[in-house]
Amino acid sequence: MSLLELRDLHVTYRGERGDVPAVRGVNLSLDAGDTLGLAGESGCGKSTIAGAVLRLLPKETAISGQVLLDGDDVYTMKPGRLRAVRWTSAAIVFQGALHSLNPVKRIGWQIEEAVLLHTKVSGKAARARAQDLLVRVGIPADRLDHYPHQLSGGQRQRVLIALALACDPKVLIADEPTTALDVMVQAQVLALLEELQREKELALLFITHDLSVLTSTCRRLAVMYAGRVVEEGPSELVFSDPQHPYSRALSAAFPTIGDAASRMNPQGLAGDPPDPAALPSGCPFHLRCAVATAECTTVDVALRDAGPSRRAACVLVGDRHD
Amino acid sequence: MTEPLLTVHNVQVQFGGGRVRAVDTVSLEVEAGEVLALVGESGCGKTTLIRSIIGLEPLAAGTVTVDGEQVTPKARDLRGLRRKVQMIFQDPSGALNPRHTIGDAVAEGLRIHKVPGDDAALVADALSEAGLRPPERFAHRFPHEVSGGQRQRVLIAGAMALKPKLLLADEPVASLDASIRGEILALMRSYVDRDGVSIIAVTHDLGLAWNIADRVAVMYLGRIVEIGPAEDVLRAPQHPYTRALLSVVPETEGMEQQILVGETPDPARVPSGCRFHPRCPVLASGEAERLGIADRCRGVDLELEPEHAPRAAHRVACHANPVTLTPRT
Amino acid sequence: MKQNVSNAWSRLRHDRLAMVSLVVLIAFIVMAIITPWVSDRDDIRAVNTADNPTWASPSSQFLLGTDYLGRSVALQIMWGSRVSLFVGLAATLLTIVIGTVMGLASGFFGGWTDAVLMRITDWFLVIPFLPTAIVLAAVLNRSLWTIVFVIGITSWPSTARLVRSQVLSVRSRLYVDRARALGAGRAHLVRRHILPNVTPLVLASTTLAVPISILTETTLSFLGLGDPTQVSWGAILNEAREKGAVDRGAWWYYMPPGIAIVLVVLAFTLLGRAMETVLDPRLRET
Repeated sequence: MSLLELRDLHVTYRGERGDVPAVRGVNLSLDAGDTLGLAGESGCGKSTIAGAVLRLLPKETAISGQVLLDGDDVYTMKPGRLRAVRWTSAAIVFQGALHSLNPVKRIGWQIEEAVLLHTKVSGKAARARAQDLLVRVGIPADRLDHYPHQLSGGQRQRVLIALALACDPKVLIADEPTTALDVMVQAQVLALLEELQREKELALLFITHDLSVLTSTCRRLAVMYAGRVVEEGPSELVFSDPQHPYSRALSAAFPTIGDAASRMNPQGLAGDPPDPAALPSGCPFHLRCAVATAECTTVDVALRDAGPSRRAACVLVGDRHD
Repeated sequence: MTEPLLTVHNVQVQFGGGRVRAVDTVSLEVEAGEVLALVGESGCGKTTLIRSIIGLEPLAAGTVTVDGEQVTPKARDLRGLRRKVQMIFQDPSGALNPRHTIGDAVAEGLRIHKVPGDDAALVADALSEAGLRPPERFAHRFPHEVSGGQRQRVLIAGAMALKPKLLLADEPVASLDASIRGEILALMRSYVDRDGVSIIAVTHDLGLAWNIADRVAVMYLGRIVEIGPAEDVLRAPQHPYTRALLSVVPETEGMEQQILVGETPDPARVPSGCRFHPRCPVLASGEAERLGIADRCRGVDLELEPEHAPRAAHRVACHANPVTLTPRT
Repeated sequence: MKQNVSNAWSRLRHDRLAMVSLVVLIAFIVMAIITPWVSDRDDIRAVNTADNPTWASPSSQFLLGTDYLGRSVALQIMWGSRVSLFVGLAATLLTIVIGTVMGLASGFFGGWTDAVLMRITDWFLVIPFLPTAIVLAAVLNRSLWTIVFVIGITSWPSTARLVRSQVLSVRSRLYVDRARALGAGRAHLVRRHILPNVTPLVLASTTLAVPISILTETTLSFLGLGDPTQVSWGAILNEAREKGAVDRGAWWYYMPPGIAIVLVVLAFTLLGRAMETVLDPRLRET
């Protein structure tokens, strides 16, 4: 049984100016030890999914479909069970911005807080656990009593990882964990994440806009556009041989250094990522698609087979793959 | 050989009364029609360097020469400089005054320099060239009414309206969605190919350098540690820092990952000797010892001399590299 | 710019309290303006006009009754409105002008200029108001201009600080860097970027400073430090008190000036606060 499963998830934000469909029917599943990358740009709905898993979205949000954690639907759980499940079954590693941590509380305290909320241990035991976690993520134990602003960006990100692991969850959702970090620090944090994931056999859902990072960190990859998954498959293949025109464009935005094809040849898409409040008709990508057909303006195509373990939501798929 | 468009000679920029040596003796040259990528991580001084070229930061030492004329801090000189050198910024939202229309923003430079001609027509031209067509549709809108990519085009239009010879771009696409970066980069390249504009693009993204740069300069803690043609530096890096950087960038193929230990260093505490030595894999692995240079790595600072060598040369500031070594005594 | 003003106005229109306040203020301003046409100064001279009954309660002839000299209280209120509004607006103008210039210079030039100007500001901030007012009133002529001066020089520091912090905030914005990179000189930066961001704040601050000035003038007049030749609401209150209006139960004498003060002060304050909300730069900028 999958540890995390999303079945036909729809999330619509209710705003003053009407409804905004952020997620329009997403299906995902993650087993223990499995790694899935979720890639996409602003407005595609990927961050919404992170919030949806632990029911962290605003109250007025309309949600349909199921989010199954270990078989139980998060949206039909009683509040008590939900609170118990949060952080112990699944936890989120947030983007390490300065305000992701409480700026007026020491980092040790923040990790202890998570431990004490879910386990009946003494204060001393909680502190010891916090210390262990910090050391495990590569932060010297004496930083336990430091404030967030006294740490560097990379260190804050590690603290957030330690925080996510405080209650030994089986599912880890990383939401843009390395954005805004320097390249070298990003590599350090990614290496740490990979190590922890292997060691604890975590199910990892890695959400990011940086497609190139996902190919080494995740076994499988799903690309999102306008609230839907438009392509999914083994990450190496999706990156090197994308089937959906959008994935192709996204992949081209991360040129391989040394590849003559991208030398002096920056590739981009015209137009802008679509506004979820005002999606085009038919396939939402057709306005920016180089190979759009007449059918694309009216038919919003579903995912279809595009090879072994691969699917893509494009009318042209199925004709083209080998 | 023609004079370079820009000559930066032994420039130093300091903050906090000399405590922080953000740019610590840098020399480089940029020719007309050339794109130089200035790469490095945070704190390496790349943004400070270009800000000092356009006069937004005072020089503690050294000179900047544009088009044969040396730039002094005098107001009149700076005004003249800013006809020839322009800049675009990383955050297109923050860089545009939200109370001004797009047309006003693009016309701002024209009005400051009292450029003759019809403002509206010049603005329309600049907007069109930057890909915002039809220009009338954008001129009376406000920045928050258009997308991030369009805002960056507005910044580009505003800078290029003055027809500068050199464009300084500070992380021009870092805050934009990945799929539209290529368009903005292609737009920047179009000014180079069509009008012979030179560009210095500051970035942490080596893929960007591969996409548009003719030459690449790598900075670390206020110094240039490696400079040369993009193909050479990116495919055959000589400096251990450049090698490590390229090895961890996901876009590089065929390099074994060399993750450096430790944090991105603080320019307020520059190590003695070669400033990279505390994190240098060559020193850490003992190879430096075998080469007999370990003591120099720890004790002898080095920098790239101002360019005398042909500009196409690939130069490195590293004790382990015998080719371009210029140790300071 | 024009669009900003019309945006602000339409938002202000929706604030009921602000609109009511505006109406009240306009009424008082109109009252102050038409006073010379309705009566002449003789009506309020401090002599006993033998024809009029003294201490008369309100009637059809005297809408607010008469005082101890038989003068019409209503006319005194009208003449008083001119004094209160004049002093209020003039003193505020002085406050705002000094405060804005100091704040602009301090924030824009920084460095030594800032340090020196801020110390001067601190010094004026610390000056105790009432003792200073009393001393100055004793030393200078007792005229309305003295009061204006006294209020002006003791109130400008808070405006200066407000303006300075806004200038500092705007100066650090990226679009100011961009303007500098484009070649902007100081004049351009101030005119196109800093002033437009400072002006709304100053405007709202002005509206809030007026009631403070009016109250201050009222206080001074009440304490007998004001211009003895002028009828101000504070002076009316003072006279009413001295001549025993409370004991006599002559509410038409001591209540109207108090109510008038409260109405005007409240109206300005509510309007000022509404303007602050409407013009708040934090709400305007992305």
